[in-house]
Parts: sequence; C-alpha cells; structure tokens
Amino acid sequence: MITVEQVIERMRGALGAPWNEKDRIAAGSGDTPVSGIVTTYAPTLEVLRKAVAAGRNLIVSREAPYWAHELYGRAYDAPGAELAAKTPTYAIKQQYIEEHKLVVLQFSLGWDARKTNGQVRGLANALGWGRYSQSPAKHDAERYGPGDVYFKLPSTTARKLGLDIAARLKVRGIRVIGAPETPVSKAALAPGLMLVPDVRQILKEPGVDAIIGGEPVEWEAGPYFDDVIASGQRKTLILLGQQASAEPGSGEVAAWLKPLAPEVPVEWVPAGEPFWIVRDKKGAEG
Amino acid sequence: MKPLTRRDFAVTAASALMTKVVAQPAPVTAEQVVERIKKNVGVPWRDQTVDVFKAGDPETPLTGIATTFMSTLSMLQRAAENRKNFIITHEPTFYNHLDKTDDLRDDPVYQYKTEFIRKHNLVVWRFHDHWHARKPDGIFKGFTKTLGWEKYETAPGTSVFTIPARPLADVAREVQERLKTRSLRVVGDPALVVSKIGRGGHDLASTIRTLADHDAIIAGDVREWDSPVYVRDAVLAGQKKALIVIAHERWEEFGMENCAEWVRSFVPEVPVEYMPSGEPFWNPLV
Repeated sequence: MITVEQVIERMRGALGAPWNEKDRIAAGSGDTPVSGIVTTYAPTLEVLRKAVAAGRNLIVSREAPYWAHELYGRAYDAPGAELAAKTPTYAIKQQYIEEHKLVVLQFSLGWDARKTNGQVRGLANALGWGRYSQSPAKHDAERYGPGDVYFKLPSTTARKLGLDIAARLKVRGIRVIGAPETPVSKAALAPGLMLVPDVRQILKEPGVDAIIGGEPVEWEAGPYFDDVIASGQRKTLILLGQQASAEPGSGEVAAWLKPLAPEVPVEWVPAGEPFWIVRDKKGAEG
Repeated sequence: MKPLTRRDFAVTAASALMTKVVAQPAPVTAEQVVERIKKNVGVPWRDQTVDVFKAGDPETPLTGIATTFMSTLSMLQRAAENRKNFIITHEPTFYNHLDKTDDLRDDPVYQYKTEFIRKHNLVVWRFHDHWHARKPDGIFKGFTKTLGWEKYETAPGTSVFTIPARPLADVAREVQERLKTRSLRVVGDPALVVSKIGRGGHDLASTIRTLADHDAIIAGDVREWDSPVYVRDAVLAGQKKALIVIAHERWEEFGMENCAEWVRSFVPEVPVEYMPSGEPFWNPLV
C-alpha cells in the first residue's frame, strides 16, 4: 500500500514546477497508508464525512482544515489561527480526523505554478467554454498556460451572462459590478482571490469586456473595477465567490492525481457553495 | 435730527457696504473644516492614522462638502456636479488601505481619477479611524439606525442586538430589505431560530469572537476562505450558528449619513450633504 508521503513524492515529481513548502500536510500523518484520495476546495466536515463513507482517507484540498492560513500574504490574513484552535468546532474536527486516521494535504501554490493553469481549465470546462478559448494551443492538455485566460463568447449582456453562469455552476451568491445591459463578447477567467494587479493585467488585453472572478477585497479590486467603468469603459465583473470559482479546479487536481496513484481510487468531492441567498419572492430561500 | 445730505448718505451706505464686506467670513477651507472635526470628534487624535488628505489642496476654499462611504470616481463625478468640492470619505480613494499610489502612477484609471480631481478642484480627506473610535462608533450608529434596530440593542450604541426570536431566513430577509442590499449571502440553516445578533468584522478572529456569544452575526466584506468555511463547519459540528455576509458598503455607508449631520453642526458656511457611493454589487438572481 502506498503512503501519503509516497503520493506527495509522486506529486513533486510530476508537478513540473518547484514544490512550494507551504503546500503541506495540514492534519494527520505522512506515513499513513492511503486507502483512497478525495480532492476538494475545502475540507469541510461534510467532505471529511463523505470521504470516510467512501473509504478514502487522503484529502487534497486548496483550503486549510482549520480555516486560517497565510497563503495570500499578511495583509489578507488577520490573526485567527490561535482563536480558532480554542473553538469547539476545532476540537470536533480534530477528533474526527484522528479517529478516522485522515490526512489533509493542503495543495494550491504548487498547483497554481504549473504551466497549465488547472484552476482556469477547470472553470472553463465547468462553464462549457472550452470551444471559446483564445488559447493558442490546439490541444486541451496544453491549453491555459500563463495568460491564456481569454474566451470569445457569443454576444450577450452582463445580466444574461450572469444568469447563464449562475445556472451552469449552480452558484447562488453571484455578485456583479457594472450595468446589467452592458454588452459582453470577450471574457477572462480569474478564479480565486482577485487583486488590483490581476484586474489591470487582464484589462490590458484588447477587447476584453468582462472578467469572471472569485473574490475581491471590497476596498481594493472591487472599487478599482467600479472606477474602470466610471472612467468611461463599458466592462463587467462577475464574482462567483471564492469557492464557486475555485472548486472546478479541484476536479482537475483529481484528474491529474489519478494516473499518479493508480493503486487507489481518486475522487473529486465538491465542498459546495457555503452561501444561500434571499430571493425576490417571499419565502424563497435558495 | 439733521436730514441726511446726499454726501452723508453716500458715506453711510458705503460704510454699511464695507461693514458688510468685512463682516462676511472668508470662505472656509478644507483644512479649517478638518481642524474643526478634530476639535469636535471627542477622541484623542492619533499620530498613526489613515485620516489624512488624499488628494487636492487643503487650502482650497469650499463650495460644499459631501460625506460618503467611498470616494469612487462615480461618487466624485456626482459631487462635482453638485458643487461639493470637499469629499469626506470613510474608505480609501486609491484601492488600498494606506492609499499608496506608487504602483499606480502609469495606471490609466488612476490617472483619469487624479486628473478629474485636479480639474474640478476637489479635495479628498479620509475619515475612518476616528469616526469609528467615537463612542458610540459613528459608523455603526448609522447601521443600527438604518436597520431600525435601536430598540433591540443590548446596550445603547453597541450595534449588538437581542431581537424577537425567529427563523434566520426571516431575519436575513429583513436585513436585506432594510439595508436595501442586492448582494446579501447567508451561511447557516434557514430554519434556525435566532435572537442574539452580533456584529462581526472582516477577519476570522472577529467571526470567532463574536459568534461565541451570539446566534448569528452580520459582517461586511469577509475573506471567503476562512469565515464562511468556519461557520459552515461550526454548523456541521452541530452548533446553532449563522453568518450573514453583506457588502462592505451596505455595512458602513449609513454611518456617513450621520457624519454629514454632525459636520453640518459646526460648518455653517457651506452646504454639507451625504452622498452615497452606492452598493457596487447586484445579484442577477435577486
């Protein structure tokens, strides 16, 4: 039987980018024999329970099992880890992980440094946008290199595109910046945390009129985009939320891991959107 | 009394005119208004603060004052149209907490905004730290008032509430309607009966601390990789907790409405008006 450490060794070998030491075992022990692998956006208790029910004990996730992490730099990571460790939820989760001998491998930085951007490819495929890709590579396996994030879409509007995306991804907490009737014909995908330099870089591309992103900081990239529009540019920002934008990438992680660990089953278990919204009609919480 | 001669009359009229000219106060400047704010704010002025001039000449004579959540370009455009050339903004002007502009010099949006400010002789000053530091917090006083929940505050001015117990879904709907927000998102069981409602912050530490003794918290602009995932895990671990996430702007804007009223009380020379920067988001499903 292979161990977690052996799986990580194979991942290092196949990554095609330097291993980032922040990608690490965040819970459990590296010498644990692996019975199966689950990939996910966040190792919520629900994902852990599903993994246990399916007899899989290695969880490869983007987010940390105990929520606080410092992957995005100090500015975005207010202290929370110490407080988190004193909560009953922490104790329950830790006990569950120990009891079922689970291992959580937090894996995102190395994944994002690969030549093919798995997060963009996952999101593009989830949207059904593969055929619209402006990526110069012909074959899907070589697509979505650095900067290959643009998609030429059939002409639509911000509102229609927002509704279409919400339906395809089954995301409820979608948020849009820009006027609903703004035309859209070329969009960029930018899953995850969106910072001002990301927006600036994308908007340098000629003709791009929409960005599909994850999560902005509302005193940074959010108002920057607001000002892009007020300065006379007709653009749209569609925010899916961190989870909804990043989750399809975890499906790509599973596809990548499968041939690396043929001894065990590998399965993507989406963490699912944490949010629900209050819809127009009285009594409709969806 | 001797009748007035033509000459006497002319002299009297002229001196009356002169008296009038002399008595008319010199136009108030932005700098003078800030001095009065410091004198009236009732908390010691800090050495380290973001509450400083961000753009324009502080000695500019004022035609009017606008208070707002954020000096976005569209807000500045409305202020200029309404002859308000001094903008008191709660949040940054240049897309980061400290309004650092080194990386933005060659940015077309930054250039457009600074040119707009220059051309219209606008002055922008930030009022964040000290308005929050007032007792009660100037910002959340506005939030509580807009919610109409003063009567539910556990102690006056805390923005912490004990409301009549009812399902989370009903509370979320009320918050959405009262704050007129189009981007509210909720984590937790819609049927959960909640009564003790706290006010969170942007970070995980605030979420944990506030949730410890409340059923639900309302927080603006949370980082999505920690707080929503934590609350979801808390719910999955059997705790009866919930998180209502709203836009930063809907959370804090109403505190700048109070601010206009307050500034007006010691700046009688020019009109002072609250000009909302407006919620940037909308959800096509709501």
